[in-house]
Amino acid sequence: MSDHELDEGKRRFLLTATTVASGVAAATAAVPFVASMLPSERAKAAGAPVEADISQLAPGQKMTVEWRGKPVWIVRRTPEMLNAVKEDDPRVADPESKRSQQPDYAKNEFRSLKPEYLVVVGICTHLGCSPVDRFAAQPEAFEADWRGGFYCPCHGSLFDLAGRVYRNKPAPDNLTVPPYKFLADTKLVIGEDSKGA
Amino acid sequence: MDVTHTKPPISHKNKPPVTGAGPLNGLLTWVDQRFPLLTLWREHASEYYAPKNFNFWYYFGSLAILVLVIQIATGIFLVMHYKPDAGQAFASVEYIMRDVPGGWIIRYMHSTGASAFFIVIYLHMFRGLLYGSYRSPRELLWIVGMLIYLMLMAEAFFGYLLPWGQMSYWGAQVIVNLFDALPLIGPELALDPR
Repeated sequence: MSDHELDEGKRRFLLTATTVASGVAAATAAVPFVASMLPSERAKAAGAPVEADISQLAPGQKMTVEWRGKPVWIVRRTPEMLNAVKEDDPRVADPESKRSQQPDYAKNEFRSLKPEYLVVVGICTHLGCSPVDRFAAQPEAFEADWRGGFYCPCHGSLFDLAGRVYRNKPAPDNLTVPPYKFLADTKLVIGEDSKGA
Repeated sequence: MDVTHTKPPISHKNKPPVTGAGPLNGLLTWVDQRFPLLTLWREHASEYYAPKNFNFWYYFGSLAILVLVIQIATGIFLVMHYKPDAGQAFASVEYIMRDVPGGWIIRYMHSTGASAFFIVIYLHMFRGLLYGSYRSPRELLWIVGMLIYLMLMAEAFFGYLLPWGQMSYWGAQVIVNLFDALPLIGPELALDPR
């Protein structure tokens, strides 16, 4: 054995070949493990966008659809309600929604794609209660000069008819607007928007 | 009069640089001067001291470690989706097989791996018998190996129960009833509380 000459080139070749082969094997073996951490079909279905038919929604009414386990409100606002939103500007904490969460196309005064329809996640941004409707503009126990909106019974946060929170209330931000788009005049998709909108 | 003793400074600069790793020489030298990497590699891998007469039958010890590592890795990934609940276990295994991306192959690796573990261990034991690996001065080696073998069987049995389908249920029934044969405490041990 000892009188054999050591073939350095052959040794290097074998070492490289072994390293490459085991590297390929390791990468291949990693594929199912990495893939198993991707969302399953069940998870994808649970997070899928939902359609809402708003043809039966009369002016001044609200409907609720479930999206990712959360209530999403759709309110068809009358011209009077839109006027009330304008008048509320000085009373709300974040009138231009600078801090709040919404897609770019809902970052406007009425916080919506079309002013007539308000689409918001119906969960108070304070501690997650669901506020209740107080659409009528009339004096209320919690606010004498009330122009319609949502009232959170847990800690008294008030939101106007664009989901904007009133000043000096526990909730820090306006109600969240989910991504959405109109499929037709009376059909909405919540959880998905047109690209670049 | 003071005599000043000068010790050679303890410095990593005294260790020779790594050669023969091409572009990695610099990195390996940096690591080796701060951690005995080369010594570790030589002692446990490249210059591992082993008798010359090792043959095919001596592969199965390290293969058993390989299978163990595969069982642990696949087991950790399976348990991320498994529900340890008599009412939900079977459905969660179906979910792993049908919905989790790559879940089916991970589960097959785990269940086939369990069978492979036993094949490898039996060949390993056969080698021990064939070459007298249990003889002096290693008499305890066989005993320890038998204890590990018992634990392996117990672990494989409990793994077999996890899907909690018909096979698991009746398998559990049979194994629990084995303990009925123990004197005095057996009947109480095997008593079905339901």
